[in-house]
Amino acid sequence: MTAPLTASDPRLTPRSARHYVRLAAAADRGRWSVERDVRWAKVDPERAHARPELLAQLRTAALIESYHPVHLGWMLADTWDDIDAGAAITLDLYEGFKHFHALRSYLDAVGFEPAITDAELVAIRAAARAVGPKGSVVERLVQFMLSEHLTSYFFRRIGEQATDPVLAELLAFIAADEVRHAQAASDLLSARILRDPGIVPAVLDAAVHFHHIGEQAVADVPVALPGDPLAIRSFARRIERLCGVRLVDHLKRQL
Amino acid sequence: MSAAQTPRARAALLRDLVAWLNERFAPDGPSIHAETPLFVGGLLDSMRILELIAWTERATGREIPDGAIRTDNFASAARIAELFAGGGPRAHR
Repeated sequence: MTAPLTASDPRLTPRSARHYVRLAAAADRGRWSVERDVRWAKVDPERAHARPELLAQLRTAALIESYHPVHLGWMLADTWDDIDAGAAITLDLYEGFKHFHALRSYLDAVGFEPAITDAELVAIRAAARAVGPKGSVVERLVQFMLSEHLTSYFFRRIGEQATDPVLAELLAFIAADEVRHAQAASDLLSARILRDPGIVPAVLDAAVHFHHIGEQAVADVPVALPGDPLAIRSFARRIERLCGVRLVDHLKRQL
Repeated sequence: MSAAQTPRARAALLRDLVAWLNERFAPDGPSIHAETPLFVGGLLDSMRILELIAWTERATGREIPDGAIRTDNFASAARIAELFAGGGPRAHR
């Protein structure tokens, strides 16, 4: 008896080899529902307000998540001829929306003030659109990859400090998504490097001049653990794996 | 004790490091001194530690191990010179 085929079945070799098939499978494995998997009935406003500074940081993080449609919209348009990039960015957009939706819902549930307003979100988008995208697609992919990488650490660290278990669980979901987003961007860059190794210096330079995507949306991108050694080391290692060059060695050549 | 670990070597490293820090990070601002906290008060964001590592590795000719990459090991120019002028065996890991 032959088992029924599924989208990720190894018998479908040509399809399963495609990057977007792996992305879709990874997204499916990591799926969680804002509506069903967050224990909304158990949210504890009193415990949440024991650390108001964490809630303020999450409010800013929610604003950044809500900004994804602007910069990823530009990216989607600029990678129209890259099928895998279209899939990766679409998934990032959807899951970024989930992060925004979940964080805003949580902040509303605990009554955090000031509440996020739609007018505030539109103002952020309008300000960014007035400036427009900066840098090449490769530079912006590096920026996105590293931003998602550091964002995963941000949510992980805030989750470790969260006083409400419901929030800790929610942030663990989000942090795991961010790891996947960083890896998806890394895979897109890796494919581009394979096609054209000449872009490696641009990737290294983009890492050297890195600024978090969130800086386009908010004045201060929140940092959960300043100088987080694990985040910094893994930031450098991610670039080294991608480029085959230590980021520090590249910096040395620029001194 | 190797030559690189002598007080004179440390003093030379510190002098060069302070000069570079001022040129790189404070061209128009208040001067950076040996004991100026580098990562407190927004002088350097924590990712700039990679530049400090690059400078230190080039100056000492030795690679700084992953485990020593902590902002407290790079808290000030004096701290960097103290820990890494001799190759960094005393750096916290």
